[in-house]
Amino acid sequence: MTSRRAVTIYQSLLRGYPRRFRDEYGPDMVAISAHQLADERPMRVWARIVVDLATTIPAQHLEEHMNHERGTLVPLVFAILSVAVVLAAVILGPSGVGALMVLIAMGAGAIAVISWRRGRPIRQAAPVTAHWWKLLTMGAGVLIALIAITRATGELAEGMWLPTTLTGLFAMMAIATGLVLGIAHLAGSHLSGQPAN
Amino acid sequence: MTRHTKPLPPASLHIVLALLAGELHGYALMQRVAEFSDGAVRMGPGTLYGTLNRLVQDGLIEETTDRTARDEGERRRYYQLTAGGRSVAVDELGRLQRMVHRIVDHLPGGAIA
Repeated sequence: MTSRRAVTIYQSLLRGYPRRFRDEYGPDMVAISAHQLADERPMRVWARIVVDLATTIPAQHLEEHMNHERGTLVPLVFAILSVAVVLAAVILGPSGVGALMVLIAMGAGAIAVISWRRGRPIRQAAPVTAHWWKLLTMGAGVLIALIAITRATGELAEGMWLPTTLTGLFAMMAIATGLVLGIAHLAGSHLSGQPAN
Repeated sequence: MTRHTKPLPPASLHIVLALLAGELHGYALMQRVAEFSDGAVRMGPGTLYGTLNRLVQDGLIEETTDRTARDEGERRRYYQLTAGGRSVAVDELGRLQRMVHRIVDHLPGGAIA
């Protein structure tokens, strides 16, 4: 197979990529494959190209699909759902359904956090104190969930006092630590003249 | 204060480390990655440009504006680290260096046979 024919075949295989990706990088990819076919043994290059196409074409389609969803919509929808279900559970009052709704709310909240984290671009590393708000939010979230659960289930069973008290203490410690780190972070940013993250 | 970040995926890691020395075009980048890894990492064009696309979106690298006909008229795109990308690359390099030192420290005799 001549090098020119091999490049033509590779060019036609690029049709497997999403149109946007192909339009952006197709000519560069063809140029690179031509260089590789000229510099290395064609069989070796083709073996690499086949694996490359088989792994990156589905990945690019997936990324293209995820880029449509990237942003704040999905986490926002699940966060609103989570809050709405917690409120409904509180309004319903103590019942088994209420407890189930709190569990659903926690699941929706977890999906909101995970989808938000996945949608974020890779960023420059931040100092530990920059994460103060996470502790504060987590502590407040656990405390609110705890109050909602105890309200939904009514009086606590005898064996549940210790885990509930420990969870409450944990939540309050997280809030306190978050506040301390937050003050340290804001003070550090103020002293260095950098804007707080 | 200690800084924490998630390690970069392998392809992104190789690319940002290869760009630490300065801007490169796609093919030179592939060759640099192969050279740095003793030929163990040879990226295909799809992996290379898929990763470059993601790194550009994440603001770690950028295309250089100076893309004159320095390659005898052949259109080539050059890539370089942004300030944030350089910081991430330096952090990653430090993490790898510390990891190697710790591994060597734990080896019997403190050296690789």
